[in-house]
Amino acid sequence: MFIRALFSLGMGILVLSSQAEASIKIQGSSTVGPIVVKAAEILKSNKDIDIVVDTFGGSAAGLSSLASETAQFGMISKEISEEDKKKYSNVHFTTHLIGSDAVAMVISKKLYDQGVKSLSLSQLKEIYEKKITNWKKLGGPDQKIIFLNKEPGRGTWEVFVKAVYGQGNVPSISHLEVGSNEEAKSKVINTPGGITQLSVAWAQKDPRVKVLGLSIDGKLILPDEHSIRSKKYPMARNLYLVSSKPLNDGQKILLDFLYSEAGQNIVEDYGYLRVRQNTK
Amino acid sequence: MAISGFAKTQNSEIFYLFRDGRFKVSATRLMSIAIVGFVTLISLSAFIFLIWKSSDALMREGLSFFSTANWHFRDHSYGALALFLGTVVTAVFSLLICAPFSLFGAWALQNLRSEKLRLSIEALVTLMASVPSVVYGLLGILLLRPALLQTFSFYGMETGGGLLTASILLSIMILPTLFSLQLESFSKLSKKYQEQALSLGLSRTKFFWSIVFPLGLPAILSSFALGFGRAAGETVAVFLVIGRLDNKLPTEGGWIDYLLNAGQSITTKLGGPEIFISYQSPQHESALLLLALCLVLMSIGTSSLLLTISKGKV
Repeated sequence: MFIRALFSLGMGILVLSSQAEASIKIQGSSTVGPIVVKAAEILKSNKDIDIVVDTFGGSAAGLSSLASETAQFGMISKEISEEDKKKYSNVHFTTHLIGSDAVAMVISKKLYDQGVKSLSLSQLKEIYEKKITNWKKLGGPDQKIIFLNKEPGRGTWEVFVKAVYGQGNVPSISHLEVGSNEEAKSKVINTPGGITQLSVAWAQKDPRVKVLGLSIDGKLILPDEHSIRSKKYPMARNLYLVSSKPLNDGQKILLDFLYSEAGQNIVEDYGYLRVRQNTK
Repeated sequence: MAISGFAKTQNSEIFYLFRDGRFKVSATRLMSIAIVGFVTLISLSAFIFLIWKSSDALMREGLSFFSTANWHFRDHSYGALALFLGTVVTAVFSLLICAPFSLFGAWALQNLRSEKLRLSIEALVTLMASVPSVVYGLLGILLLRPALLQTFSFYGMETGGGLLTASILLSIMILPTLFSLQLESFSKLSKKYQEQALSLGLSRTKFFWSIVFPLGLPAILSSFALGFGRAAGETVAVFLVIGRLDNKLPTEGGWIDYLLNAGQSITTKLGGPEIFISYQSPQHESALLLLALCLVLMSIGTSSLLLTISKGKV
């Protein structure tokens, strides 16, 4: 009995350790997440590679899990900033560009229909600093503005702050916090007067939310393919997989797949922009 | 109580390797010592780790950690008053909401005539305890939040998520804990005193208020202690409905606004992404671990306090 129990325990450990060997752990941004999850599904059935994707904690978790070596790839939806480089000075990050996207300011369709169509960056700043608190001032109905801020560490938040504040200091203001893209979207739908920062791809797929245009120097700029590629839209961003070590075979297969036509089609299916414009 | 009674009949003899002038070594004995030592070591070392890591923040922040509400980790300021208040308020309110339901529910069930119905309701409530907390959280998002928003938007509720929503959700989650403990005590007391009460001509209401409730008070209090511990320690479900707004105090807009709108508690702070951001920022990490230590001490404190009150009187 005892021996049998020991034996099965040993077998269990063996099975676990052999699984751990063949699997790739990927952590980070919930914007990059769906692409990698889809690619993982395909690679699982075609090449039998196990890929585990975790979007808890966003881009910051992507970098810190690489540094603590709990993941092989990090997903980030922003550039690696100087601050990050300073923080992880002992880690050498290599970025692999897999697509582009932009952060949009998103409100519910109801609010959009009531007259709020665009914001300027300075208005955005005043909303963030709680100087404008009612939609009435922005051409909307008499309703309190509920700013649903992406939680700290999310790539989306950093892109937003960089566009609004540049390199300047970001004031410390407490806002309602939302985590993943899915959560941000559902909360902006359910909260009267809500506004949030959201990946354009996620916003455009859902008819219940509307993307606000940004007016810059009097010109209205919408986050479409042209303005994202030319970086005219201030909150355009690239999507990366990041590694910190030489790639193993499984990782190479995943990257090759993401760069292939099929992989780039996945990127496009989710509403993001492929790395290179399709010339066909 | 049965368990502690059983433990008393044992003694520490099992740990004596050398007794009556000869060695008493057996595999069982060695193994039990090793296992007990291992378990003690793990629980102690976790505690020591928390104290060691959090001492830095305690030294640096001092009392302001407990007395100010300015948690802005980018400015390296860590004042956690709002988090403590959030945890205490949600736990206390969930107890307040849950207490009448569990007390009178348990008493009503105890007096139910049909044995079949009683047992099935009891089983149903007990089963509620085994529902994973994330399921409660999702139900909270899908049902509770919109319903409360509709009801309370007139009073200034903004998003539907907040301390009140969290309290109501928690009160549902701690119901089985309170309910089963109270039911057990009520049924014991009922059995013991029912005949005397009936022969004295007491009504059921009188019987409850003059006998069952006062004599069952220790059990009721200990059920509250366990409920409080569960409510204060619950993370996932609260995380989904509390709204997660830092540094909100009732001084900003009054208690009604505070309860109806978003806040933050210790567990939701710890459950958030900050532990990833705190990487290589020992100050931040230490402040988070100090929060964790306070949470542990809080639940140990309330449990032991209320359990001492109720000790040995069931």
